[in-house]
Amino acid sequence: MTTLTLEGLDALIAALDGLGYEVHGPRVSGGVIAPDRIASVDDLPLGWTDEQRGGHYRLRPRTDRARFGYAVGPRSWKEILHPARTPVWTMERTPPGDGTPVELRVRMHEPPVVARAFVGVRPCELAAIAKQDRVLARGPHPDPTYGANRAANVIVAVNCGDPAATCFCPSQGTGPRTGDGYDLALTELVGPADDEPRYVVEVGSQRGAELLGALPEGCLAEAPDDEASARAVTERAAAAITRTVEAEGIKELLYESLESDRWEAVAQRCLTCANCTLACPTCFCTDLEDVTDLTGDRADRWRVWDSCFSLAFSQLGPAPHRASAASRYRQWLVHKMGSWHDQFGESGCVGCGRCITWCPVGIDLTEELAALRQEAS
Amino acid sequence: MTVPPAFSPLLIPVPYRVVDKVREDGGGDDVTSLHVVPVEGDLPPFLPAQVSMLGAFGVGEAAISVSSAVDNRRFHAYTIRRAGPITGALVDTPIGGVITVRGPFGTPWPLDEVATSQLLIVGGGLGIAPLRAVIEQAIAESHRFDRIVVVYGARSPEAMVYRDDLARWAGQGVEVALTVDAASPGWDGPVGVVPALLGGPVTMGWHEDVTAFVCGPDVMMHFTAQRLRELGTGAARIWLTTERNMQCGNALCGHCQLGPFIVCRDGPVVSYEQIERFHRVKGL
Repeated sequence: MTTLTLEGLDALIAALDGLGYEVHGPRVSGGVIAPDRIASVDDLPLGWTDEQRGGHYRLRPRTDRARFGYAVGPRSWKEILHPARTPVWTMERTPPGDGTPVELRVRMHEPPVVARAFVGVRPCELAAIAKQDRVLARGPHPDPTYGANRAANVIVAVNCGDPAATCFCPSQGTGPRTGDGYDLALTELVGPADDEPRYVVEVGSQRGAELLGALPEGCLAEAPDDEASARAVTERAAAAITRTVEAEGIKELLYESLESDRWEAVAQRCLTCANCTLACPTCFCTDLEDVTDLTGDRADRWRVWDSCFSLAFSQLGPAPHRASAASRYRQWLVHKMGSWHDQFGESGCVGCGRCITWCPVGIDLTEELAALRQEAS
Repeated sequence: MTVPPAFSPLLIPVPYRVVDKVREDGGGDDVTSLHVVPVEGDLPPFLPAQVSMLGAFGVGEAAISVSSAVDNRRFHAYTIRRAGPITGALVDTPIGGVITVRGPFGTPWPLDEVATSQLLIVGGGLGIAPLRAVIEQAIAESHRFDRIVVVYGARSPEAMVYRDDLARWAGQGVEVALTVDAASPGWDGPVGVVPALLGGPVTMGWHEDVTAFVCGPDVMMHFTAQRLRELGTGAARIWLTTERNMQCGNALCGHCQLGPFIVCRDGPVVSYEQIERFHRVKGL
């Protein structure tokens, strides 16, 4: 096992940049910690942590030198890999009425494939990317742009040392320590007082090994007990996470609870604002919008994020099929925790807790699931 | 740099020319079949019940099943009820005009797997459209069946579609039973919902030897399936169609979920055995 100094991490970022990768990492912006372009370790959120609970997120100062001393922010890597708004095609029509037959010409858009390096991907977020891979890149008709961008994507994960009160990744088997799917995984060892942190590195791919191997000599600072210290970081994090979901039989529980009164009880609180679906790193639903220009002879199709909380989402003939808030919350939760298993062979939830934090009224899916379980028992 | 793989053909809208339009109802509804052919290239093959996303330029797309016979290599027929802006723009496309098609795709009626000697085909309203191709196919393979029974219910005699086909099928050995919700002068058939005919005017050896293909509004399919179960037909031998807001047709957009099913990927045809527990749940 290798340990990087802070300078070593900086050299890794510079090396990625030098290889042509667009480097993204966590930054403080707009009052949150969120993925953004980074140029060096100076862009990382030194001196900040996040405080989260149902309907509550605040940045709080911290006095140590940690660069990854927070849980997760509202925005995830899905914004980059599965953008909120993407052009699909442009269609042009020969103007009707001049006697010649009407013709349509279709031009598919191929959004650029960009090689990106993500630094600071949390284990839960890595699991979320893997779930979106399965939906968007490994289904019967893959999204070609998504797949190409992922193939070009380098991931430097950072294990979790400071989980939030809303986290429940151990229940979902996704954290606080990464399983796989990374090129390099770091564990931040925060030193006492003004000491800069060091980063214990695990190599997850050939590409990761090459990146590490190309770093200059002085970047590596091994200490005999680093591996144990790194393990202790994620063990402490795991111990600090108390929120749980009982995963056993959860799909059947939800299917058996489709007509429970509990959905109406949630609907009394749910604003159907769709915040949970926007913040969720696995929610993938999109809408197709056709926009015509003023001549009326050109139409552009856009793919935009959609949410099962919107009425139009379930439009069927003249009316929405899921007219009630209860049916829309049920769709979201049953899909996320239940029917995702039937559709994609796994749970749709990674336990990051964003939907709890970013729900304006603090609806907590772990509480709702526990209530359904209690009702069923 | 990595090169993006080719787009799935289902993502690309293909221009089709409207070569004919047929008004299908007798004035009780607003149902038109568009006969279409690709502007370039050949008609793709399809299986009965498969759907396509039909696009009206600048308006949007709607999922419509192919309703012509599978061996019709001259055109594909799509039978469309005017219901909103998209279906309105589609049926208003003039002969010679162009629409776009993505498809056909989806699960077909499992006619090849039917092992029973009696085939029951039940359509409600425009639900007869996704059944027309399988009826034609069953007639072509009628040596496999002792009986082919078509039960079709419409709101009124005028709302019935495919009148010529119904008469022709009856002449080709198919037992055709019709019912309407509300009669009008000249109607001498039964009045009532489709399930009421089953086990009454339409009697079959339910227990051992019927496979049923059912398509219509959800409530009609629900009560039809329940009636068939009461009569002793096994849930695994009842097949019906699913419908949700279908958009991408590629299992990517999430809109057409129905419980465990992604309709564009797992449907439209599913067995009642698979869907029974979800079918009765309102707003799922």
